[in-house]
This record gives sequence, C-alpha cells and structure tokens, in this order.
Amino acid sequence: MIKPSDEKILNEKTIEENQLSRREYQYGFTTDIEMDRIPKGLNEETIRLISEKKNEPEWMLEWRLKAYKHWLTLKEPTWPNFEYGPIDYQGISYYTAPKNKPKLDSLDDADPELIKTFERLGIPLTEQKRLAGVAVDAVFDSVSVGTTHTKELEKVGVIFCSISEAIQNHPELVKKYLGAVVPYSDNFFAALNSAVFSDGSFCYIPKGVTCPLELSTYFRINAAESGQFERTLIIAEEGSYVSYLEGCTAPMRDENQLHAAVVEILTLDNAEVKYSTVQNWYAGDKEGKGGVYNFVTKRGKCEGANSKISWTQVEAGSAITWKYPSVILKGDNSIGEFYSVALTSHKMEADTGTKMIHIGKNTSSTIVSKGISTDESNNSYRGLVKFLPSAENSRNYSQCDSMLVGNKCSANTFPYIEANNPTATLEHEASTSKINAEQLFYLTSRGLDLEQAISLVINGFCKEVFKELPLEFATEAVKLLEMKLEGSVG
Amino acid sequence: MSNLIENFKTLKNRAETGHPAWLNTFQDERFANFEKAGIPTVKNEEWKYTNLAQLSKEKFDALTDSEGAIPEEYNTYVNKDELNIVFTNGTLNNELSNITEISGVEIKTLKNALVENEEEIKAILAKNDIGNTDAFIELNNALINDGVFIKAKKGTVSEELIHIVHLTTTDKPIVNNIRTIIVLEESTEINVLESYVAFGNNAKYLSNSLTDCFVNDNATLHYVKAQTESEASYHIGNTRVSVERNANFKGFTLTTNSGFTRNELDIVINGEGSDGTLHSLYSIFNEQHVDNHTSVDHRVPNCTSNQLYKGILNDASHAVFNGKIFVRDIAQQTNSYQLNKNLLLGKKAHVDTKPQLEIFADDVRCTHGATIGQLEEDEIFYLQTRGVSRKDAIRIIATGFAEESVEEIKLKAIQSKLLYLLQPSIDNLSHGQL
Amino acid sequence: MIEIKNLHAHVEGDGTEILKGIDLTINAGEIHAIMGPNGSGKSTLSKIIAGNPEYEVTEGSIVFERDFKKIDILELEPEERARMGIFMAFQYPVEVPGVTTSLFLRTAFNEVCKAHGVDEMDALDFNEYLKSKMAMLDMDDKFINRPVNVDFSGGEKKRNEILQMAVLNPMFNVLDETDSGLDIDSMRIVADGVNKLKNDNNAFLVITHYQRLLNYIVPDYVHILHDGKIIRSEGKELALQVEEKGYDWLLS
Repeated sequence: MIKPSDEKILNEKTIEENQLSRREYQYGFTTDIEMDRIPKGLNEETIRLISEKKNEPEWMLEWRLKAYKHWLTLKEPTWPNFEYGPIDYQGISYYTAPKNKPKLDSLDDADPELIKTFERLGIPLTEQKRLAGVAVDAVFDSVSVGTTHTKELEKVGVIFCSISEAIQNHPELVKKYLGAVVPYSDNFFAALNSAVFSDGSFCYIPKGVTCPLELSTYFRINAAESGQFERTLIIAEEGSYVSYLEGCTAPMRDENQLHAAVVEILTLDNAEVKYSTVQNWYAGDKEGKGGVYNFVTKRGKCEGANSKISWTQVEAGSAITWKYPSVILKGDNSIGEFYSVALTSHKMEADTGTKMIHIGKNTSSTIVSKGISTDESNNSYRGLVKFLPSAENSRNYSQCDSMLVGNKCSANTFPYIEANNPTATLEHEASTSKINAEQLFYLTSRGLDLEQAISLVINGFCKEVFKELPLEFATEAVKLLEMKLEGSVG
Repeated sequence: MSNLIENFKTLKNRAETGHPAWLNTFQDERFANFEKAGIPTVKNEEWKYTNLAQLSKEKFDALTDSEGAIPEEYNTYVNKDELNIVFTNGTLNNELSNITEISGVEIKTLKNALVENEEEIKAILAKNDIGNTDAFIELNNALINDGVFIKAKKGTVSEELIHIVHLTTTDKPIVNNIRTIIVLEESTEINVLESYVAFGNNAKYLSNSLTDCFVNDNATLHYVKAQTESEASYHIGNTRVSVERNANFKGFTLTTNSGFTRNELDIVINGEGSDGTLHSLYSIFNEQHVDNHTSVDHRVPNCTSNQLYKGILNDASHAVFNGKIFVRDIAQQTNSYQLNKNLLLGKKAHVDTKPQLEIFADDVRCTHGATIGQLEEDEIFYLQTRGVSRKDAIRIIATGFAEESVEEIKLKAIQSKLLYLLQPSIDNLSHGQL
Repeated sequence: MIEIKNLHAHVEGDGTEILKGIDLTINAGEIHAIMGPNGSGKSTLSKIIAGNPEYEVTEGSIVFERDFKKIDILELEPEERARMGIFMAFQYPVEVPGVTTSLFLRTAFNEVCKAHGVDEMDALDFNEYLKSKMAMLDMDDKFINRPVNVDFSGGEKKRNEILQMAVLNPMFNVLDETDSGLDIDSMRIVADGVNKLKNDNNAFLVITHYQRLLNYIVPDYVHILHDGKIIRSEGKELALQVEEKGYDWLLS
C-alpha cells in the first residue's frame, strides 16, 4: 500500500514522537472533521437511537435489544496472563459518524477531509485513484463511508457493501445469517457488539462464483472516547471463492479506545474464503499509555463439505490484543487454517491464537503461529484443537514459534488439545529462538546492511505466514515489522 | 463445607496423638489451608480435565490394621532379598520389610525419623518454596500417617535398589496420606523405586501421597514411581524436586491398570549446570483415568530439562497431560524439551493435552510438542504379511512403544518390575478395537 | 594490502585494555599466522578487523588498500568492510534459523556486486554459481536449502565459512581459530579449501592456537601475540618451535 507523504502532521505530540524514535506510528494523525455523535453512555435508549439513525427495520432493533439484555447478565472476562484497567462502558460514545456521509455510488459529496484521510492511509477511494484489483469498503469510526468497485462486482452477482446497506437492501440474507456463526450470546464482547454495532462489511458470493477482485475493508477509529464495534459477515455459497483483506489504524491518543468487532464467515459445499488481516491499531507509547483494546470475535464455519476457511493475520498494533480467529469444521473433508504473526513492542499485550473444532469426517486443520516479543511486552499463543467423537480420520498440525528480543519481554504458549476420537491425528510443535546482536554482526560482516539483516531474519522466521498473504499485503507486513523492530534489536 | 472435607476433619481429630506439639500446630495450620483451598473443581485451570466431583461424594475411613491376604502377584513383583520397605494399608509391615543397611544411606520410616531426626524433619516440613502448593499437598501435611525418610550422606554412590512398597489389601475405603522424603547430600547417587500396588484388589480407597526430593550439588537421584492400583481407587500424588548445582534428577513414572490417578511432578532447578529428566509411560484401559501434570521451573542459567510422556490408551480410558516449562528471565542458555506422545487405540478413549511454555529469557532453546495418533498401518501390514495376526501385530508394536520407554531406566531390577506391571495392559490390547 | 598501526582496543564499556599496540603489515599474496596463548587478544584482533561493535578502538589505525586507494576502515560498518573485500571466518559461526544458506549468500553476494558496480545475479544463476563453489569444496548440495548453520555439525559450520569465502571472493581473509574443535579430516578439508582459494591477489591472516593447522596452510610469517602485543615475528619455523616448546620460553 502507498505510504502517506511527508505532509503536515496535525498532532504536536506526533511530531515529537517522530523525532524521538524512528519507530514512529505513521498513522497516528487525527482528522478534523465535523462529526455526528450521540452522547456517551449505554442503555436501551442508546440502542434505539443507533437503530433509528440507521433507519433499521423492527427485527433488527429487536435482535439488538435481545443482545443488550443478554449482555447485562454477563460478567466482563478477566484474563490469566495480563491485567488492564477497567473499561467504563458508560464513558464511550457508541455512534460517531462523519456528517455529509457520502451516498452510495458517489463519493463526490463526501467531506474532502475524509477522502484525504483515507488517501493518507494508502486507501484511495475516488474513482480516478482507487486501487486496481481490490474493492474497498472504508469504515470511519462507526460507519462505512464508501465502497469501491461495487458495479463491477454486481455484474457477477457478488454483493459487497456496508452491513447497514445490506440490512436495507438484502434483509432476507442478513436475517438468515447474522449471528449464525457467532450468536449474540457467545461472549461478553460479542454480546456488546451485537447490541451496538454501527457498521461493517457485508459480502455475499453466489453459487459457483470466484470473486474477480480481492475484497477489503479498511477500518479507521478517529474520534476520541468512542469505540468501534463493526460487524462483518461473509457468506460463500456453494463452489464460490473470495479473498478478503482487512486493515486497521487509529490516531495516537492518550486514552484507550475499545475495538470490539465480530466477524462471521460461513462457507457452504466446496466454497473457500481466505481472510487476511494486517492490524496496526495504535499500540500506546513506550510507557504503555493509550492504545487500542482489540477484543474481537472472529469465527468461521465450514458448513458445507469440502469447504475451506483460512485466516491469516499480522498483528502489530493495539495495546491489548485478544483475538482467536476460529474455524468450526462441520462439513466433511473441510479445511481450516490459521497463519499468524504477532509482534509486540513497548508494553503491548497480545494474547492470540485460534480454535479448530473438528466435527465432520476427514476434516483437517493447520495452525502456524509466530510470535515476536520485544521491549517489555508480553506475547502469548493460546489455542484449542478439539476433535469431537464424530470427527473420524481428522488431522491437525500446529506449529507455534516464538522469538524474544531482549530480556524484559516474555513469550508464552498455551495449546489446549482435546482428542475424543481415536482416529484423530495431531502433531503440535513449538519452539523459541532469538534474534541477537551476534547474529546481526555475522550477517553484516558478509556485506548485508542492518536493515537487510533484520529483514532476512524476520522473513525467515515468518515466511510460512507471509507466503499466505496476498502479495501487496505481504510487502506491507514485512515493512511494518521491520519498522517496529528497529531500535529493539542490536 | 463439603462432606469430604468434613470427613477428613473427623479423620484428623481421630488420628493418633503423641505427636510433638509443633507437629500438632503445623498440622492444624495445614488443615486450615486445606479447608480454605477446598476440593478443586474443573473451573480451576489446573483441574480442567480431571473432575473430582465423584471423589467429593465419597466417604473414607481411617487406616485399619493390616488385613486381607497378601496376593500371589506380590511375591513375584517384590524380590524379598532386595531392600524393601513395605507398608500394607498404610502401616509398616515388619514381616515383609527388609531394611538392610546400605553404607552411607540412612533409611527409616517417617515415624522413626520424627523421633530420631526431629529437627531435620521439622525443617523440611516447614519448607514451602518447593514447587506448587495445592489442596492435596496441604491435606497430606495435615494428615501424614507415615512414610519413609532416606538420606544419602556426602559422597555415597550406591547401585542398590531401595524399594518402597505401598500395598493395599483391605476392602475398607481407607485414606492413606503417605509422605516420602529423600535427601541427597553433595556428590551422591542412589536409586529409589516407589510402588503403589493393589494386585487384583477392587476396593475403593484414596492414596494421597507426597514425595519431596532434595538433590544437592553434584548428586544424582534416580527416582521411579510405579502404580498398579484398584480400578475403584483414587490416587493423588505430588512429587516435588529441587535440584541444585551440577545435580541430576532422573525421574520416571509408570501408571498402568489403575483407577483414577492424578500425578503432579514439579521440579525447581536451583543450581547451574543441572538437569531434570522426567519420563513417563501410561498404559490404561477400561475407564481408567490418568492425569499427569508436570512443571519445570528454570530459575538459573545453563540448565537442561527433558520431558517425555508416552501413553497407550485402550477402551474408554482418558489421559490428561499438562506440562509446563517456565524459564525465568535470568535463566539464560536454558535448553528445555518436552514431548507428549499418545497412542489412541480405544474407540472411546480420549486425550486432553496441554504442553505449555512460559519464557522470560531470550537466549534459550525450548521446544515442546504433542502428538496423538494411531499405530502406523504400514507397520501392522508389514507384520501381517509375515504371518502375524492383526491383533498380535498391534500388541507387538504397542509393546515396543512401551518398552522403549522403560529401557531408559538405569537399574535392570527396576526395568523388569515395570515390565511385569505393564503386562496386563498389554494383554488387554488383544481384546481392544481393530 | 592491510596495514595495522599501533592498535589499542578494549571491550566496549569496560576499561581493561586487550590490544596494547599492534603493528602488522600484510601484502597481497601472503599468508600470515598469529599464534598465542589463550587470552592474548588473538580473537579480539580478528573481531576488530571485521568491525564487531563489542570492541572499542582507542588508538591506532587499520588501513586497507584496494584499487590503489587507502582507507582507514575503523570508522566503517561491518557491511562496508565486507563489501570492500574483508572477510572473517568466525570461530563460532552463528546460527540463523529460518534463513536458507542460498538466500543469505545471494543477498550478500549481490550486495558486494552492487558495491562494485557489477550486475546482480538472479536466483537461478546464483544457485549454479553456488553449486560450483560447493563442488570445489566437496560440499553436499543439501546445505543450499538448509537454514544457515542450524543443526550443522562443527565441521559443517567451518566448511560453510570457507564456502562463503569462496562465494564472496574477498581480498583479505581472516581465519579466526577455524581449526578449533575440528577433527583431522574436517581440518584437512577446510585447509584444502583455503589453499584452492589462495592466489597472488589475496591475503590471509590465520589465527590459531595450535601449530597443526599450519602444516596444511603454510604461512609466510608467524607472529606471536602475547598480552595484546606482537612479541616475535619470524618465518614458519617459529610455529614448529612453539609446538615443541610451548609459549613459555617466548614470554620470559
């Protein structure tokens, strides 16, 4: 993706930060834009208000209210390996949208600041500049501000729009599939999301269609004291295929921002969905002040036989990441994959992994997780592989490697493996290794410069994951990691 | 308060008096800790896969005098010419015991040690920085009935087997709180086998054992625990080991044909240049349950540890493995390895395994892994083409898998005993699936 | 080719001086050996030549001459030295997990090409080039796709160092105790490799504790390093004397 040019940086603090360290967070700027925002706080009225603003049908409001009532009965989870300050759910504004929201098919009416913001993030939205080969849905705070290439997609019958539009235009599909994979009762944050989700992407690939473009959603939290609660729903009908990309950034702010998204994927017979994420939310400063709490529920269900869901993620941001993209392997011969690189620096906490639930016969899953911890951060892999008694002849292969840079960080591996079928085969391997001054000296003494040396080691460590990413994303991911690692090594 | 805790409280009050005052105070405190901790439930992460709900409903009796006949198998298993310390139903059996002297090694019952080595035992009991504490450790401390104290004096190296036998013959639901203390002074090496056997007895009883091993500088302890107990029994065993500079702990645990077993083995590596080896074999069938918990805590640099837990599961048996490698920030150059391999043969057998790494030092090499699988069809087929029946082929290959483990034990005398205990579970493979 | 003058150095952040004024001149086509007891500063010297940041030079210079230009290399980064044609074979070659030998060497090789304005080589051509060098050193092709030094035996690691030397074709080569820990067969292979690579345009500095290696790589000069200084320089016979009498007679 295109990097923003050296234009005027809006935030004083950002400038200082940039001078202090080469490891700047280059997406830390804020956008000055007129916002429509509802008052802070959460109650039944808030939900009615959100629903009303979005002009939602009655069934949608009812679903939200059910979720809200259920949420009230739940206790916020605590986590064994780290602590975070209490989240004030009444101190968040649950709906923040740019005024002059562009209408469908015409970004001309959009606030020019908004278009500029996405351009700085490397996501041109306008007709002239938009990225070739990738259709983008851009989500700014609570709402989707524009989706590109919709017409091209319509020709083959692919529906790619914001979920708000889908609720209006394809209610039968939304009604049928929303919550089918992640019910509102699933967990604390999923319940909260179900009650207040403001936007997100919706994607429907009809029977037999291979989506001609990569679909992508770009998330941006801008407003202070707001949370982002987007909801993404991807349905792949029989024999279809889609590759989906997701990117995220947020400004540098001293207070924490909450991001509690839900992503649901459903594949029917012979369908395949590939979902790639490069997550670079603001991670807080060196002292651990500020940053995004990234508490998301991502789950796919291989409903049909021979279907496949593949998650690839590069997690390099957020103060706290707590995320387990999972696959329920229900269809016989279905395949689940999870490829992850998680890099933590400063005082970041990442607890990420996956769940592979084998239900169907001959199902197989692969897990490759690479954790890199630097500074005083804490990086954990937590995963579950479960074979139900029905999962005859199923297989799993897991590999979890950690790399530590420095002596104040930690790397943990917590794999849970439950085998209830004697024909299951499972192999789990994990290791730790290091990147150190000695290694870098060895490489540089052969003529490589420091950047090349770091990049070579990181690429070597992460190559199994990077090769799963679409090409542009892979390049961006490598650059992102190099930038974050510089200064920690050597 | 749960019935079981009430039950234990009554047993504690009924327990014999005549203890020194400090011991009574100590045991009161420990019982209070036990009450506070309570019986763990599956909500406790450490007990996620081992449900004590059934145990909580049981009612246990105090120890009774030795009763019940000595089973035939006992005489095959125990060589009466070797050094044996035998407890039947929790009480020292003088007739069966053969506490010969090994020069440089002090061996006695805990009861005697409490009189003869009072200060030493008092100090050891007071130590609470060895490995984890949990409800059952507290319970053992509160209710210790007897056990063994072994001390190898500086420089002693012995190849002789020290065999501690806990034999259950009664049909009463007794609860047996056994405590074993093994101290190796500098530059010593000894071999200890602790056997928990019932041989065909089907009684319901609870063994709650605690073994503490102190391996001092340059010493090597070969410690084997072997279990073949009643299928209705409960066995909760904690083994805590501290390893000092240039010392080695070589541990092996065999669980076969038992009831409900939970074994926790915690090693604390305290001195540089030392090694901890924890190997295990479990071979179970019917509805037997084995839960192995391990923890290796690397507190100093330049040490190694090695865990290999192998299991064969037939019928509807259930195995749990939860292994932890913990590397502290100063423990650089740690080399640690952990593997759990399971052969899942029974149609309803299941395995829950959780090998964990928690690492805070950057210059270390740690690997862990777990495998769950069946026998290689190629291998079975190969044997079949040579005229072996399918069932026999399975038995032969599984035996190989098991024996390979046992052969790593140093003393042949121990190897042959373990193979003897293994036999019933191996024979059982012939009536398994496939 | 290289001229070391009055070189003083200590460990970064530690005041103890290890090198206390080294003077050494090496010309193209020459092989020099440095011998000395443990702790005399032998390995420090080689690390400083390669540019290891662990050491700080307090006085003196190391001037490297190439294409009639003289440059003091002390201010240069390790990679800049490498690209100029300075190579050190490590005493303990470092393991780099995940990075294959072929990718590593191709990147390094192309950096050297770039520095000299020569066209870079693509992966296919490079692998052919690499294989030819491996054949010369009697190395197995399997190394190409294995991560650098990971799970290599001691002998394989040292051979890999010589392979890198062959591929990068440097002018000035430092062998830092390349013989340590090798059995006689492995040592012979390493020495044969060096002898094949030696020509009139390059030079070698062989650092060793034992005379044994010098039977195979025959030096023109032998220097004895003691307490951070060269205390004696003679022809190859000096090594034999050390072998026979040890170091003590030189130190008194």
